[in-house]
Amino acid sequence: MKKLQFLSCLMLESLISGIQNSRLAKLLLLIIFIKFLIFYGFLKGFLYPKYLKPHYESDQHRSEQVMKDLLNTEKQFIYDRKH
Amino acid sequence: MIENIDFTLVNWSRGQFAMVAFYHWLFIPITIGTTYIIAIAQSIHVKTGDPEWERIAKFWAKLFGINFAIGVGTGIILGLEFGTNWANFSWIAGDIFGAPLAAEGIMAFFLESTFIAVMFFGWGRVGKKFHLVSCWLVAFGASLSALWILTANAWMNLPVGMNFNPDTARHEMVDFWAVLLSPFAVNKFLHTITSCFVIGAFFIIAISSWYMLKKRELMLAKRSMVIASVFGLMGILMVVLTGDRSAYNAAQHQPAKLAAMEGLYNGQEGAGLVLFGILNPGKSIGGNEKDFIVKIEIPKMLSLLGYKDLDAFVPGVNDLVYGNDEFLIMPASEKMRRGKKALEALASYKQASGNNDTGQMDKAKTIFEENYQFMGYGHFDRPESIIPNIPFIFYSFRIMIILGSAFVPVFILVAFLAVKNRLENNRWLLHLCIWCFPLAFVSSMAGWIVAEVGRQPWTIQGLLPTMISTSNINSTAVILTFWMFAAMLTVLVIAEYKIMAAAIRKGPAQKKGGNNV
Repeated sequence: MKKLQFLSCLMLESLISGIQNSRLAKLLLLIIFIKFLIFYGFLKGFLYPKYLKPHYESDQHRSEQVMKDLLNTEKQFIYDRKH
Repeated sequence: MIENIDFTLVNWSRGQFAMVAFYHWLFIPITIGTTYIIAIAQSIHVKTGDPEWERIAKFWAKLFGINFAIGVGTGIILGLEFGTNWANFSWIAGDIFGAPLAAEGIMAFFLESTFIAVMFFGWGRVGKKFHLVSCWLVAFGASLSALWILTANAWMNLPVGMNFNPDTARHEMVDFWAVLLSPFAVNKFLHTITSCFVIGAFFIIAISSWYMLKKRELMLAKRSMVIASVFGLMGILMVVLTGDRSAYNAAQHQPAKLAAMEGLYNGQEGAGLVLFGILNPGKSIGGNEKDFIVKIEIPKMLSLLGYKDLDAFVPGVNDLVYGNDEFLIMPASEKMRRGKKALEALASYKQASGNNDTGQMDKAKTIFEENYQFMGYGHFDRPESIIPNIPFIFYSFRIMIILGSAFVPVFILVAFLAVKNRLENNRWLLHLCIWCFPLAFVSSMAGWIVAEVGRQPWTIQGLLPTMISTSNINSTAVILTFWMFAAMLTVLVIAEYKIMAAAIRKGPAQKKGGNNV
């Protein structure tokens, strides 16, 4: 347990001092930060649930919708191979 | 939805997924491939104590770090797309996809993320052996992360280890090991990972060649090229070996894909493998036109690859569409009939379930289970619809094979000349090596086209057509996000190129010790 704690501290220390001593590491960290802000904050947190995600009231509702799509073969269609 | 199916939505959803996957794939093989070469260089350093090897490992770790930092998270967009554009697919396959994707997240987080920090910043700060173990763990962690997503992808090609629950409209996993160890999963993992080794090796060879042409960092370049060429050679030989297995798997489970790969319209016993060919653009399924304008083939090779028998019958497109009594190949129209029967039984089951009619439910369920394997065919009304885009797959397959075959002698030549210390005098080869890096990507992308477009019109082979897999959303949203993702990812690729180019121009650290990142 003590060894694990020591290793964790060592890793964290390496990480912090490594970033502090390198301009490139700081730049890459900034890119990661901005990217995750866009991916998680803007896309996953805002755009996706508000505008893009199909809305289902519950799993039951979603299951029924999928089943409806699966079973609705009244009018058959042709898959356009050109696309 | 279906009677008013919006092909703009289907096609843009497909296009968007392909575009994001394309950008994502620009980062992945470099990450997976270079980690092993870094670990090998560091192992030599720990074994011999030669500081030059550590300098080599540090330099490639720096470039790896740039690629990792910019590429990490690009896969998140693909995950989001499952929910936005492919909601039906996500629901139907969610139980199968959930376990491997969760495992991928855990692997990536615990193994890669933890030890990447030690690998990047641990030089001189932690013990050499612990640092070396961290390098190897990052390499294995990156490959293991890929294992799970490739397993999920393989399941789409060969759906095994699951049952369809008619109450929830979901495929539910009943045998995790059948999913993980299916012939498609094992082979896809090995084929893809070793192709990453090839790209990673060419990444290092290309940059080392540039240094040699500029007469800079000669020791680093020579030693790097020795490791990378031997590693790349082993990688490409594994790619060839597993590629052979891919053809076998396609023949057994996706004969339409194999027929499209070879432009084979009429099945043959002792079918040849087309080495080079130009398809007749006027050729139609079932038509009497000539298949090829010109072709060169190796006799009987396709039968050997697909069935391990020189004289085996390989079904062509026409056999798969219209059937072949002699070789007991069921026509697509019969599969469609059985598929419709499965869907009717499913509808009947749902209705009986609503009425609590257990007798009718059991009866319907029996009919459904008898015809379940053809369920997807019930959505089509033209037998020809089950065949993917033949020219696209045929030419993509040729590009992959021709480039992949060309890489074998390149690796052998580079390894031989690097060991003999005669690389610098062969400037043409150094220029060729630089070109091989983007060409390796072209070959890899062509392979993905064969695998994914070749599976069409299915997302889940034989069970779920692509057009049923999309969400009930407005296609405008998909078109808008297509361009938004394209712009975002292009910015990332430009950033990668600029930062990487600057780091390469700067070269490795000159001083002994110190932090190189």
